[in-house]
Amino acid sequence: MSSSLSKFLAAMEVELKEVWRSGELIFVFVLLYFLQGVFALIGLSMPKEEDLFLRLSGYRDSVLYQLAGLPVLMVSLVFVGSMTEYLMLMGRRGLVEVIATTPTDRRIQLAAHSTSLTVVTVVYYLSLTAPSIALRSGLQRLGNLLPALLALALGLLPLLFLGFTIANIALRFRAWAFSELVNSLIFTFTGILYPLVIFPPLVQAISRLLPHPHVAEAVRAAVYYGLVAPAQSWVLMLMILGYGVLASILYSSLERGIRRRGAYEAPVQ
Amino acid sequence: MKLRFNDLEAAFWASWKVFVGDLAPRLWLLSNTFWSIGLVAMITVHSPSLLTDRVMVQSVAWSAALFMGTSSMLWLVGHALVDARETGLMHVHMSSGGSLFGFVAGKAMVVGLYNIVSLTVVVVFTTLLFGAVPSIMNPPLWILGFLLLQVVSAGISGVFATLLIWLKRPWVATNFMQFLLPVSSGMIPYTIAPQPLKLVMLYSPVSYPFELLRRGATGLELLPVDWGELLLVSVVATFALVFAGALALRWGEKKILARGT
Amino acid sequence: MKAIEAKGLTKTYESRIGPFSQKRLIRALDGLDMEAGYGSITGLLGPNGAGKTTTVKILATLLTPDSGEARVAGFDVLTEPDQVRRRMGVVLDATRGFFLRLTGRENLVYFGMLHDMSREEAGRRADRLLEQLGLRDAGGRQVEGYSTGMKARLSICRALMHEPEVLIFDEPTAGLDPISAKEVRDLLRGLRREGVCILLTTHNLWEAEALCDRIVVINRGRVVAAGSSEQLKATYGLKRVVEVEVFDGPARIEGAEVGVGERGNRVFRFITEQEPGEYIPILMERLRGLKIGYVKVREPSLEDVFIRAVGERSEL
Repeated sequence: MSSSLSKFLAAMEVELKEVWRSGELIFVFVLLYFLQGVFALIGLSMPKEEDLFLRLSGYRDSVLYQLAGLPVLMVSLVFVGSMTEYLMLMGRRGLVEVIATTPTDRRIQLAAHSTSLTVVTVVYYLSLTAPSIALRSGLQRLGNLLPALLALALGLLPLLFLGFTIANIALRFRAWAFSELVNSLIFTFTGILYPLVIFPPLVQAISRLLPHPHVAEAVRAAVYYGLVAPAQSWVLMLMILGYGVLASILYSSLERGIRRRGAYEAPVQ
Repeated sequence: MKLRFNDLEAAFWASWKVFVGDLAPRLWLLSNTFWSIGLVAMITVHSPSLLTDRVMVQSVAWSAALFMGTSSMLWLVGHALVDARETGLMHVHMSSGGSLFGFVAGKAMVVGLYNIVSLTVVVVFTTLLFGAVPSIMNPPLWILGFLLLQVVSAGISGVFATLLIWLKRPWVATNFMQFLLPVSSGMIPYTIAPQPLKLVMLYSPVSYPFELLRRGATGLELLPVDWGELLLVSVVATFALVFAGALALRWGEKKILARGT
Repeated sequence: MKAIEAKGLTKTYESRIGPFSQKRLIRALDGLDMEAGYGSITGLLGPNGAGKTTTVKILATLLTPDSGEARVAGFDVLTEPDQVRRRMGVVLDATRGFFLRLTGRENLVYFGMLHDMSREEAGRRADRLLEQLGLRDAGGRQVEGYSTGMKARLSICRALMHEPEVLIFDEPTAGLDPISAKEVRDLLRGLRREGVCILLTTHNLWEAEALCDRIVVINRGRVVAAGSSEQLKATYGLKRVVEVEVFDGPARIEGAEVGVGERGNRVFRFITEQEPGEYIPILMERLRGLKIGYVKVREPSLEDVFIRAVGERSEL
């Protein structure tokens, strides 16, 4: 087995053991279910204007619209927030420094962390989102969940790359609040929980440069219609490539910066 | 450990210096505004015509602000003792005779002041983005509501802070609480909330000062209580929660001395 | 070939209090030169802020210098960092740098694998080291439950996993009880016999004197004194002080400083380079007839060297 692959697998094993033994996974799931419940409660409480919503978004049922997009939102918020918190925590524990003294690229550790997050995401999707969508729209839409999961899986990569980039920037500038700022932008301006048309054209144009609207659209289309449009798939592929390159270029520059300043640890905020 | 004015003053100035010197509160002004815009959009998208009703837009913006404000208190004041324990500050503070109430109250004052600025910025920009003009119908009422809301949240956060130091995973509780508190206190307008939630809202101590604030800002009367009851309950709830916070912190001190942390 | 060579290292940090305040430049290293050989223990001493940690981090490939060069095990720390990392073990903070929910053994195996060892090899090596450092029973428990001393010993195990040629320690025995500290010192002596180059920083001057073949004192980013303990004492002309407590004696004795001893009585202090065995009898003969309370010989210490060295710059 190649050296990098065996190191990656060893790092994955470490990540999964840490997560499992912390006992926090169950709390994360309970929290995600709770948040989904809050969003659903708000959606169900509000009076509906289905025709107007259809004209704005192209979809019926605003609650289903949000339920379909919610996994994308949760995943991207988790990727950014969790990745940043992970790096901060690793820094505070002295692990970033220790790993930096080994002849192993830190990206392997980060890739392992991302992959373990992905595993958790898939489990979350299957255990929560799927039943929620089935409850809302009936069993006939259950069959659409597989293409939706595939769309999500495809869309995870650019979300991961972006989360990884944001986390490294936050570490570089030693500002946890930076990743929170990014999360607020993702929540608000990426059209996951509501159609982007409610914002000015300039905001819409900037949003479409991010992977989130495209991933959310692909997942939503799959939930509603059971398929991902080929054009959407191409866009996602382009996003994977583009954000992968960006993450790679930024990573090298950030690593050099961290080594120049010796800043392996960010202050507690 | 008796509360000394010195404690409060020292805690206030220490928290103030840290807050003012830190980059995070400045970034939060931006992120809170964005979260607020997102929350308003998320809530109103089910009835898009609400976005053309300027009063409703303001009302929902204040709902989002309620969420931001209570969140800030819970994370910054609620976690004050957990953070102080982690950095060793709590033990130093207690061993020099300082009271935990003074420590937490000082921090709460700083966060309260920050919230006044932050939430005003949030509501102004959110309202403007959705095409409404921010306005305050009744400034004295609005100010009273705002102040009482900060104090009530601070009291709750004080009780919360005492409970959090005994939890292995305080972040879990805070994540729950930051949604439970605003949702049970008027973030979803009373008039459209489901029946069980309406009942909870009538008994939530935060609902009343928030209703005061919302009536002062928008003129909308959503909670079915008359003015007298609204004022009375707001004031009584505020005093009661401050007292509860102080008692909880005193209890917490005794427990820490007896058991350690 | 030297195990560690550093020439002309400089490093300046930018410091800013708050995001809008003016930037301050702090010159941590100002042209530092030092070296250390295989099969030796070199101690790096200096006051707080002298540049010890900066030096150690540069050698550990965690920090890039602004100028100058450094080589560890023959490889340049800037251009060949992975080669350096393969041959170097580092302990910068003995109680941190672990996955807390993994056992001690699991941590060691993982870090061994990061150093290109196979899982089996890392497992065998981990078992040996845990046994050697008295952690055999604790190896199966999660690190979260370890005491400070246990974490410190586990850090040493981690640094030794890949059998490095060069070891860099920051305060190796800090936080250890006396028995554990002795075991660590014995371990370091054993490694020295095997030809490993050990560089350690310490504030424990007694330990530095007991352990180190060579001592490098740095201050304000430069080496101010370097050599063996004896060489340094000789450089600074430090001599023995023989202190004699006298009851009801004369007010002065020629060639002696008068002072107050630890019991509050008059003492006379004589400076000598002679060995105590030679000098004391001569002194006692000189002081015959006086009522003597005690005679104490104080050897010049590394503390004396340190105090003198950081107050001035001196090159050996």
